Amino acid sequence: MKVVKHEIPSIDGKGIMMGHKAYTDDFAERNSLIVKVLRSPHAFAKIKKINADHARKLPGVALVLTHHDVPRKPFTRAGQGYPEPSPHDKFVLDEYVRYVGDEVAAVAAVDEKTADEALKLIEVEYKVLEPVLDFEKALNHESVIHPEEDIHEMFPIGFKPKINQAAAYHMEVKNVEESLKTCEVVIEETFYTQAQAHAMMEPHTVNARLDVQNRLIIYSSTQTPFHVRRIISQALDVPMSRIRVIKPRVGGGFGGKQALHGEMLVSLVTLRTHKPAKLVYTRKEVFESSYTRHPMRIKVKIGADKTGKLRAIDCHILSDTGAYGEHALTVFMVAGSKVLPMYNKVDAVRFHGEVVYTNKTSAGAYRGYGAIQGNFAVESAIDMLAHKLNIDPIELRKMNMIAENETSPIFAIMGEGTEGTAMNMDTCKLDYCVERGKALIGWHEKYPRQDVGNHKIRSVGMAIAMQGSGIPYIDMGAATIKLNDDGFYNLTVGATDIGQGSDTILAQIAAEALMTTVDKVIVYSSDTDLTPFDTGAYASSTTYISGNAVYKAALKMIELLKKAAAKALKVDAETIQFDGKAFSSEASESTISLIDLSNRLYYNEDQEQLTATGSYFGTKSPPPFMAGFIEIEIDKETAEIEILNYVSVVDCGTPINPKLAQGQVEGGIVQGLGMAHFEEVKYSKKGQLISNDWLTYKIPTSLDIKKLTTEFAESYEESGPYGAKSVGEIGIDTPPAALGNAIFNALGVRMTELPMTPEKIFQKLQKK
Amino acid sequence: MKIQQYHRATSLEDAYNVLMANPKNHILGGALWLKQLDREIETAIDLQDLKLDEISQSETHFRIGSMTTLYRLESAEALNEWCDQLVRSAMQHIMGVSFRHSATLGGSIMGRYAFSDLIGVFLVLEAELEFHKTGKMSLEAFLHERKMPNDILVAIYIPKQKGKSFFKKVSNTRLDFAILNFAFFKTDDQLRIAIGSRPSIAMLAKETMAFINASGWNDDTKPQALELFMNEVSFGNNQRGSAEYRKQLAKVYFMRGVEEVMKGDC
Amino acid sequence: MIVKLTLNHQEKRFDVDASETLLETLRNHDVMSVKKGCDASSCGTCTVLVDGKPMLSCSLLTVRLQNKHIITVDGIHDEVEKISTYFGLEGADQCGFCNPGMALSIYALKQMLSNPSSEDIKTFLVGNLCRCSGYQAQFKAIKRYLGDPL
Ligand SMILES: Cc1cc2nc3c(=O)[nH]c(=O)nc-3n(C[C@H](O)[C@H](O)[C@H](O)COP(=O)(O)OP(=O)(O)OC[C@H]3O[C@@H](n4cnc5c(N)ncnc54)[C@H](O)[C@@H]3O)c2cc1C
Ligand code: FES
Ligand code: FES
Repeated sequence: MKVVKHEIPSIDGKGIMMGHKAYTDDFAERNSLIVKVLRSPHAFAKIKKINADHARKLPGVALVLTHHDVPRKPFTRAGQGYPEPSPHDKFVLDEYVRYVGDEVAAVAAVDEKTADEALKLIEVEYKVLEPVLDFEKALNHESVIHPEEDIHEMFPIGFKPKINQAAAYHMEVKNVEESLKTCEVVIEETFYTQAQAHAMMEPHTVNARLDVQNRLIIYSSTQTPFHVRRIISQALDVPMSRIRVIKPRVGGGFGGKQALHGEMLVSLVTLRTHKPAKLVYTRKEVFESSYTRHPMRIKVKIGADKTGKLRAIDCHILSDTGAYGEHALTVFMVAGSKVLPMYNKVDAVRFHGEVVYTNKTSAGAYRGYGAIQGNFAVESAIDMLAHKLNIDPIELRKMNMIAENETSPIFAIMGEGTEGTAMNMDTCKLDYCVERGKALIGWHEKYPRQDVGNHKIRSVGMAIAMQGSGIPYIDMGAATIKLNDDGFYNLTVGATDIGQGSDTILAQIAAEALMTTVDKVIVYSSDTDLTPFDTGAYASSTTYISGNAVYKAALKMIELLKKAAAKALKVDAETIQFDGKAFSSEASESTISLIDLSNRLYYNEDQEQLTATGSYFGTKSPPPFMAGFIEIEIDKETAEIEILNYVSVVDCGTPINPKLAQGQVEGGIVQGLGMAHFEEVKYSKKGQLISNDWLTYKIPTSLDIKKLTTEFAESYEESGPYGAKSVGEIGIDTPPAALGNAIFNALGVRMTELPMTPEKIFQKLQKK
Repeated sequence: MKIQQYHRATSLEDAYNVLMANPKNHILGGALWLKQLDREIETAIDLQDLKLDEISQSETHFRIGSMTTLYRLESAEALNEWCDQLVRSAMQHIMGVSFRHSATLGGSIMGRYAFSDLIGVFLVLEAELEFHKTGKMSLEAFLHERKMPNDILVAIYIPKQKGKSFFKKVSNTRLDFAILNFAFFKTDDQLRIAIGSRPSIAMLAKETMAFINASGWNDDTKPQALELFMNEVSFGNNQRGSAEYRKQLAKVYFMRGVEEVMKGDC
Repeated sequence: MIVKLTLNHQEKRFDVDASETLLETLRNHDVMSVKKGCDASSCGTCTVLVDGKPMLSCSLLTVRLQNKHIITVDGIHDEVEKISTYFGLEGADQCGFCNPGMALSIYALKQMLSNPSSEDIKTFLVGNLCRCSGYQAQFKAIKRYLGDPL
């Protein structure tokens, strides 16, 4: 391969660093109305009266929107396949406010100052209601968070709002209770994972304007432009054909932008005032009023025989979706479906539980999407089992983990809120990942711990993980390749580059297939008017799904090129040879270069525009796998931890761009370590978000991690483009369990609650 | 931060007069903290032309102007040499370089932040404050003042004393406020110990200091010193840590800190 | 209030009110390379150089900057080009939102420290948060840039 598996610099990194306009707000119209949102000070309340007359009269105010002024049609902000597995339980504005930070009203004014002043002039009388803040008490709580009658599920997901249940699920293979009875060792533990904030650097940003055809043009910092177009059309009753969504560069998403935040209000303002409008979330709004990761309580039982052969796994999860049910069921299911198949040799397995509403910031999609939560619980429990059996935790995993050409019944049972898709592991280099990681971390010498003096202990810990590559039969991507005069191509894709580098790797795939170089493939992505459809950047789908679409489009283009060349050379198309630069045929003396052919096509003879479109949807979702190993130094007396090294060995199939793939893994590792160690969304007793800025919500800095060691296993997934699977999420899954296991190996205390702060470790030590 | 008027002071007296004119008038340091507050400022007074950003030294003292940035403090070679890098260690634990190019000494002292990493350091270095009208006052006395002097901090003075230092900030990440911070300074005959972010503001552990200075530091006095220290210092809860955990940290770093500065001594 | 200053080597006059921050002034005048990540001195995406020193433009009042020299990435084109080349080679680019601020800090680091250790580099850049990269590729790129003979 000449382009794929090569370290091509990101195609737009230079332009961004050099300061060119790139992000949503960089493209806002200069004279945009500034949209600001009045947000609820209460965790749960009903608006008795709202009076915006004074605000409306303030000079400079163009529009004020309250729940009286907007269409009432339930929708979900979640950008997912349609019909969505998320309940339609959200209104543009509602008479109920369900968390501190929920939208009460919006103003649009000529400048920020006026907008701020107008917000202060809106008089609201609330009937404050008893909020539900403890998710373990949410089911059947006397406060019903969604009492409204007009909300609904799109298909059965266990939606029972009257008891605060957003979704529920149950599956069982064989009889777990029976199987557990026969086990010689059973581990039973309850784990808690916290809400984590995405904290992407670019806040949620949107701006809108009307074009000369009076169509609504929206620039949005989104992961899902096509879903944005559909949801706005449905909720605001605007024909989809009247809406164009453009996604410029996005300053990070991690799932947080797999939803609509602000698009509705800004669109309404522009539609009503006919003026350009913009909204940039303040950092406080990003924390308070967008999304978090779903907090979960995970009860795990794992049974095995004396030799360490796993017999049964039982997993019950209670998940907290916050005020609205975005991704409620699907995140919950992934906690099982992307974790349990790793131990595919069990006799019986059960996965069940509920997702409940609470009066907190809505939970939504977040890198890992349930898998990180489930992984923490199961991979901690596996180490507990190893300890009890006195087996090296790596050996225990090797005995029980999934291997190439094997399968798990769970693939067929659990899908995206529905049934899944049976599949074999055509590529699974987990065994290599584990062995290689073991060597790289120096497990043999370092496991479980060394006392290095000075009150310090060094220890190691590890965990394995799997993810998916898109959602089979649902996620789809399409790509169009256009030939230009002078012989270069345009590649237009719906796929959404949110900083993960998909524009670059899709260009690499196209260039490889077209036997050319990346500079001859000009990528334009994610514009609902100009690019083909794509479900968006989520579920680790882009490389695999959109990459396959690009590959198919490129092959079609080659066919078209050969036909055109055959005409030019006056031979049969079958006989044409193409090497990326020129065409030849055994049936002809002459050859023609791609440049000459394209110039001929557009200026001289047989004139014809060549375009080829490829689309792809997965019929399976080949999981990437990884083994993660951590080495820490921990202070025996204070439990302060220094992370010395994190070794990741990843099977993501072919890394299309090894350096960018490494960046995906390492970025995921560090976000996962943040979650494992200290990141935490915190609320006051009244439901106020305390961690609403970077003073109170901490993310890892350059000094917090000493070293990352990242390698890829040789692996080639036949169904993927040039052998690729996905790599966007897998990195985030192992750190919580690996760190927890390392802490146990150092100090003998088992951490069951995230984040594992020194203080919590210290408290456990006290109780030991 | 909403500011109605901006005033660039031409002299301390000029600044002082504007400050007195309205309780809503405020001095600008680096304005980083002011920016965090949703405060309405009538007139913001800028001292940048008054040459208050200079560090000078006499035989006995360093004089540091109140508009000196934290970055200047950490880069001040002579000062840091005298105090065994104590000032630098503390500064390097406060946000990033760009931040420290704005944040000022004056704003850091006048804010009397409970989380401050710098106040403990200046306590053990026996800093004295010079106000425009109020005159001189020790930092320690200033921290005990119930009412903040409504005055302009002009400079601080640090006596020249050679010594050994220990600084420790325990925090969740490098950019977080301290769960607890420690500044120890040991001259020929004096050990001084400050502990801050308890979560209340930094304090000197005076009884403990007096005890160690009188009785020395050896296996016999250590337990007693620790006990004194733990009795003398109070700890509380906030979102960064509980009193219990702070107590543990205090015990551990008290011992480690004193050991460190006493090395080769007693 | 009129403020006269030098922006990227050009004299400028801005009419600003007393509360306006340099970040606002710059973005209002189409200098889009400075980014607002937090508006609260916590992230570093708004970094600019003021008289050669890296500072956070979200917390600088424009009225205080009379006669100062402000530099953004647009004003040190050649150096940023180099930095970005190494970022590209090391795969350090992800979403890029932190990058212009990071580039200015890196440039300042090169001016201010000679022969910095890895720890010095990390300490210098600790105020420039990046949520995407995990920092390692950036450090490799920075080291190569610092070793660049020019
Ligand atoms: C995001 C953030 C993180 C921080 N993290 C830490 C940390 O980890 N550790 C730490 O120790 N500190 C920390 N600080 C505090 C910081 O170090 C400074 O102490 C703080 O910003 C004040 O300095 P300033 O120059 O910005 O003051 P300003 O905001 O300008 O002023 C603060 C107050 O002091 C008054 N003032 C300023 N100068 C004078 C003067 N000469 N005379 C009289 N009054 C004056 C002002 O009127 C104002 O009331 C942090 C601050 C912020 C904003
Ligand atoms: S925007 Fe200035 S530091 Fe974040
Ligand atoms: S690359 Fe996204 S924040 Fe740094």
